[in-house]
Amino acid sequence: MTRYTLLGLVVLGLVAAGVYLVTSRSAPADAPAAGGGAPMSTSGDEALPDVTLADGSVDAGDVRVTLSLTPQPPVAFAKMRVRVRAESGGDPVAIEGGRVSFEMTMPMGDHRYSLIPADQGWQTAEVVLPLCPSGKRRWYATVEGTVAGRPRTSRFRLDLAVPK
Amino acid sequence: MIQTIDFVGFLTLGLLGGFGHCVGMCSPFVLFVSRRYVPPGAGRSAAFIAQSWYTTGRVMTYAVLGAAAGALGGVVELAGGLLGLQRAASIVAGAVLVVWALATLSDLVPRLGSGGSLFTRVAGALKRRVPGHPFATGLFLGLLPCGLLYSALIAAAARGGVLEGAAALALFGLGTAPALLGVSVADELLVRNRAVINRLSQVFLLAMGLWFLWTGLAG
Repeated sequence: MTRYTLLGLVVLGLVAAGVYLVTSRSAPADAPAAGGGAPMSTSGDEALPDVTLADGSVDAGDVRVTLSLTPQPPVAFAKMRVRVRAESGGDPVAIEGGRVSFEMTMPMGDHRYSLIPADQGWQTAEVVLPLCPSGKRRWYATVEGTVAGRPRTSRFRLDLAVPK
Repeated sequence: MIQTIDFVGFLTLGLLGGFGHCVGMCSPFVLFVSRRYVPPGAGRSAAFIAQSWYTTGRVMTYAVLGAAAGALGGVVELAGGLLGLQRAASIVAGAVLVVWALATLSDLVPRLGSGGSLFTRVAGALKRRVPGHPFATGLFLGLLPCGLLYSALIAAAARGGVLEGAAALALFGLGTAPALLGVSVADELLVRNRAVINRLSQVFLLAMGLWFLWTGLAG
């Protein structure tokens, strides 16, 4: 094995290490956490509430987190209004430091948005998501924030429509 | 309000995306540039210069797209025109990769590469369309459809401003360079001068060319 082959292997190893570090950091978790990090009983995509065509909710103990998108279905490259609401016993409760982030299996950059308080306990963000040329349309939304003094994480799934 | 990111954020997006995304999607073009523009035995510096020109061309195209996104202040208008253009770019780039890979593999198939055959004529015509300089190839391949590029354009559109958009996307493009240059260096040191592994890289070019063709045609 020549000196250059060894050097090539080192460079290739560095690139592979970079790929591993980035993809392991950005890959969506398979078993989504709900309510203070407790894993859901069913793992995988289908266990997540689908918010493509209707609002979806995640129950996290005494708190229910609802995610609503406008329009339904959300369209790639178009502005989408994201609304989040947490409630306990039917009454809205505040989400402190609320934010929503979006990811898919393909690394697509950082799509993280702060939630801004709106009326009737809703918090909103205006979001634009890109289209993945690979043909994948499935995205995952993660809502994070402190509700009733406890950090909460709720995950949802959505399928982007292709712009006409 | 759509979230904005600062200039360092664009560089970081490119840097991380370079390893997480571009190595997978764009490494066939890195291999192509080395094979198209660097004759065997020309040396590693020649390969580095060719890759640098290719990267510069790509960054220039990104900067123009960033300026357009910044000027429009919204990606909806940009995306409408861009999607069609990028599909066309994907088809052309895929066809070039396929023909290039088949031409390099043609010695494995008797008479495929002989003069006068349909394959030779088509390959010759397509090869003549390939730009003669890696900078021009970079300018063209910067138009390839890319989800990470779209994300950067969305962020640039949210910032607003022609110059800001151009600078942001240029930084994004520069951020993607280390990962792709790493692939090029590894290719030069490890792969290019070994017949069996070089054959595998030609098959890889063929597979990725077919993938880009399919992506462009399927829309």
